[in-house]
Amino acid sequence: MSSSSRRRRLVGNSLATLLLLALVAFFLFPIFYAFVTSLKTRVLAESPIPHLLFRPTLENYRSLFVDNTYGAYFLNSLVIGLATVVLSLLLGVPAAYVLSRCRFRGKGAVLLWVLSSRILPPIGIAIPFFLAYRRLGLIDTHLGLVIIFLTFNVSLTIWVMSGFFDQIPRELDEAAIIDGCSMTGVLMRVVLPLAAPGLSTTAILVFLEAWNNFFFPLVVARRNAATVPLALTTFLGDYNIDWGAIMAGASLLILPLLVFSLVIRRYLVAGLTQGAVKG
Amino acid sequence: MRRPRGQSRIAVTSERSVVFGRNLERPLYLYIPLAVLFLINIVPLLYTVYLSLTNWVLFRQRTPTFAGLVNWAEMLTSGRFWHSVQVELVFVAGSVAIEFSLGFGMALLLNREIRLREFFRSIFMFPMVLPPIIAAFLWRFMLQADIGVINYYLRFVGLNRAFLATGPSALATLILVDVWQYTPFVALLLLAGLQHISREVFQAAEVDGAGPVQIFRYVTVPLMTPTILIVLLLRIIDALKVFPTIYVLTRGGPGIATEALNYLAFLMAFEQSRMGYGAALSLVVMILSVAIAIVFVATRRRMAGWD
Repeated sequence: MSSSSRRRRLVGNSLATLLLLALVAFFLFPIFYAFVTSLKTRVLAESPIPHLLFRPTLENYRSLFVDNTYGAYFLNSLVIGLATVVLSLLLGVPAAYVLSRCRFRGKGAVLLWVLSSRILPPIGIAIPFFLAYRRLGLIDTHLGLVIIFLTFNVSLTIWVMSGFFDQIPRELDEAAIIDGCSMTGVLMRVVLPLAAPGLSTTAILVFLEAWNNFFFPLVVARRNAATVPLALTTFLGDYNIDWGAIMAGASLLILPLLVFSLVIRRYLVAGLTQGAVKG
Repeated sequence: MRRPRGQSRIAVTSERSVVFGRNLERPLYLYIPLAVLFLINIVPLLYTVYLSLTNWVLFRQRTPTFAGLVNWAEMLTSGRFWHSVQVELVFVAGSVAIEFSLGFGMALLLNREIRLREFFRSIFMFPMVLPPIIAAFLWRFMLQADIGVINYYLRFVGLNRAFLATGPSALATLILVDVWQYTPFVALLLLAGLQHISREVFQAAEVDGAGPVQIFRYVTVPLMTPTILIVLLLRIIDALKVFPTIYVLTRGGPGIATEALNYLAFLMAFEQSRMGYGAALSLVVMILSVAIAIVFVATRRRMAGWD
């Protein structure tokens, strides 16, 4: 390579780094600013001058838990999210395993059906759920939210997990079968331990979906089972918005997500596409 | 030891099935989840179709009454419906176009051998893991006409304005929030595609005397087409579901200027309690999504045929 083209490449790379730094500022600033605002007093948070240097206070966080019942909503989000993860994995992982390992008639149709549930807009099934829940007394219950969250998370689990299973050599299964393992034995003792990173990635993706969802809680939850996204709009955000408190609530909701996204960095993008990139 | 009956243990095809002995697990493993999915996906969907053919205003009627195509007729002759379709399409086209161009640029930058690459890739994941409702709150806070930080700085150059006060600017704001949240997603997905292209291909083109523009046009884009199609499909389908941003930022306003189809369906079903009409509207959202998915899959197939 000639030295001039090399120099051009170096200049190009520095320029690229500068541009990317500018983009980082654009994509990070709102999150940063939310966190900063959460540490401000109400007067400062609503001042027309955006102070960046000030004496930070945890007053907003205190008021979230003491004056508001944010703690209860946070707990709701956590319980509902975890229950959704457990049920999605219980239902989705075995199905993903069969779809990855076995050939049978209609398999293509099953895969297409599972994938197509990503295409379904939530509004398309929200009305029947709402009506059924009124009958069954499931409006504003934790169970009701968990069930409605399964509508897209079971298929998400099946897709992502079958992708991970596909990467594990079948010879291992076959060896275990020769050694006398049943299907459950193969799955539990051989395949799942090897798919552990995939399993945790899937668990985190499902948790994200449940944790972030706003539409379904809005439709089928009220106060008792309200998750944080719903609570932020209804109880904190209606009239006379207390921005400091909202930003504190948002920061607490965001923090675990940022940690998770770093944990599953490698798989996040592939996971979010539900294995669509494979094909 | 269990032995598979009458089948050779190792098949030859690459998609061969792992042969388990007689087992009761397989049907349970597969059919229980599928039965659950049927119950929570297909049944509600069919019920929505049925509802769209009925007249049912909650709290006024106890049960739905069959009404044929009345809801559909009302919808297709309603100016508000067509307006909402237009808003939805402008929103989707606007956000996806910007996300794609900006995202492609970012992906090309990230594909260079630069320092801090891993750092950038990690940072860029943050917006897309946020709950959309939070993204909406962050921007609503920053965009406030009087005390918003964005207007504070725009005031120095005399560009400050009430972002949500007029229709076009409110719609542009919704697009901005979507762009902020999902451009990195597009970028990271395209980057994954770029990294699958072997460096030698670019080097060969360079040796043949192609400039950067030619390389992009004749090497990068054709090799990236499958990834591009998937990225566009995913973004379009997700953008059609736009809801939290509208709910937090504009509530469909000013007037009905930002009332996208998805939001109109929500309003009709859950604020006006018109279950039948809401169901019809929500089916249109679904038909749009499915139609777009079919177009993309068909394009993909046809291109695979060319290869």
